[in-house]
Amino acid sequence: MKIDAKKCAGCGGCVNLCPVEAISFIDDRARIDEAACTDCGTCAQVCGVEAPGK
Amino acid sequence: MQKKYDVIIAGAGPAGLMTAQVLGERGARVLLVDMKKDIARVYRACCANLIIEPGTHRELVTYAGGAFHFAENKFSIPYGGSIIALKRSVKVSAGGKTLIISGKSPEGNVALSFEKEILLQGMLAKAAACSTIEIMPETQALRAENTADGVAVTLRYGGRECAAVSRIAVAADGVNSSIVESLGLNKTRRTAFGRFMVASCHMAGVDCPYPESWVTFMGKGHTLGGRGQIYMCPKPHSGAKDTVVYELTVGVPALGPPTPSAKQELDHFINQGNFASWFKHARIIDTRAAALNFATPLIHPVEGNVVVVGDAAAFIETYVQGAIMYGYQAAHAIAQQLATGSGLDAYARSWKHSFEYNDPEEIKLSTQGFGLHVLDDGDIDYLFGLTAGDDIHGFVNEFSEPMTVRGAIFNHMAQIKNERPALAGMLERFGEVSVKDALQVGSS
Repeated sequence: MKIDAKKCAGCGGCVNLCPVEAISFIDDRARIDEAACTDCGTCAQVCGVEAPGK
Repeated sequence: MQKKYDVIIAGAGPAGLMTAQVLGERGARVLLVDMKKDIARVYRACCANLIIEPGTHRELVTYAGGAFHFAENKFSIPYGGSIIALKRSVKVSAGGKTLIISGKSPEGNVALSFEKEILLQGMLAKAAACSTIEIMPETQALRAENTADGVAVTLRYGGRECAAVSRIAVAADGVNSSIVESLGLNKTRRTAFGRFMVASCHMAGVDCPYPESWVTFMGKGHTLGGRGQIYMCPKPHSGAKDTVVYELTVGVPALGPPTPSAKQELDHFINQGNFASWFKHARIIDTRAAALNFATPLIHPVEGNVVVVGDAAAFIETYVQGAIMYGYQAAHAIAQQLATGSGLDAYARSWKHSFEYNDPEEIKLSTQGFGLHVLDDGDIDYLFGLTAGDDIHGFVNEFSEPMTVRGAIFNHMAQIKNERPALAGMLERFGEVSVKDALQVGSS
């Protein structure tokens, strides 16, 4: 998964809910470490503003 | 040798900042970490209204002279921003009928709308001015582990992980607390109800026919997916001082059958919803979001040397004022613990006693009012229509307001039984509506 920084509101919800701690918060936006991401889709499921995508 | 702190606090929202401030004033060496770069900025959707009903969390919070006052706990915190007094709570059905609750406070208010960012700026400045508090922005608190004489907290900063140690750690990292999860405490919650996603925006130029009101849109017909909660309040906003700014918030269940996202519902409500005409001249100033797990509170908010405060311990939200109050109480308990080796139990007792949703009966009562969400839009139109001209008084408070709404409708029960007996039967069975049904999160 990747996060579209332009869409990300910076709420941080996905950061804490990512089951494998693959999301960091950089410059007040969520960013996914693609090497750690398992493509489980949790971030996309919980994001209110549709920022995560493939 | 690694530096050892007295207290590490994960999260610098209202709970963490209040905890830090009180402990700093009492001379404790505090490390306060937050993942945000600009800690006082608010990106997360939060209604940020002061709930002024006496007895909320067994406290009475008021605003006067540039400060919020906590009467029972006997402390105040400065707030340098503006306040908008909310005079009414207006429930709007999909067909445009209303149930209107007038403010019950001495000033005739149902709640007070404030600007969270200004509050946090003041709290952060106070913490930053304290020489014993070290603040680390852009730092995630990933995990905590109790040790023989304290806590080891794993932090992530600049892409690297490191450990910090302290005698006590505070989980003030919000409703999806990583610290709480890492300690396995979510398994001690009685029930997990589901996940919600939230999108909200601030708008200028809204033609809202209900000024100075907390407006809630009730019924399936307000949304594309037929599920979710929508509300709107006027908000003080430093970024747009010359105009009235409204905050519109949509929350939808994030699990279960695929549904439109919160953003889709927000866009739909503004552009094609039943009240799109209110937004014809509206301009969006900013957009916020939130994702949250919705579960019963932690019964015991202390695990070894880790203390859980604010939303990290809650059913859904302690409100900003609850986060501050519990931060204040936790800080005093921690100071006592550091000085004497005991004290944390006092905080745990206070939490159990004062946070309403620790009582399963409160959850049940609240659900009886929320049961309206399971009715069809035509029924809600009919019921709200019955209350036209009624003089209903109350507060906005998720613990008591559902019962105010229920009481207002039940005043017309004789007529409902006569005109719509099936609906009357449903209303009387609201006590049997499950929380999951009331929240529309799926199977009961």
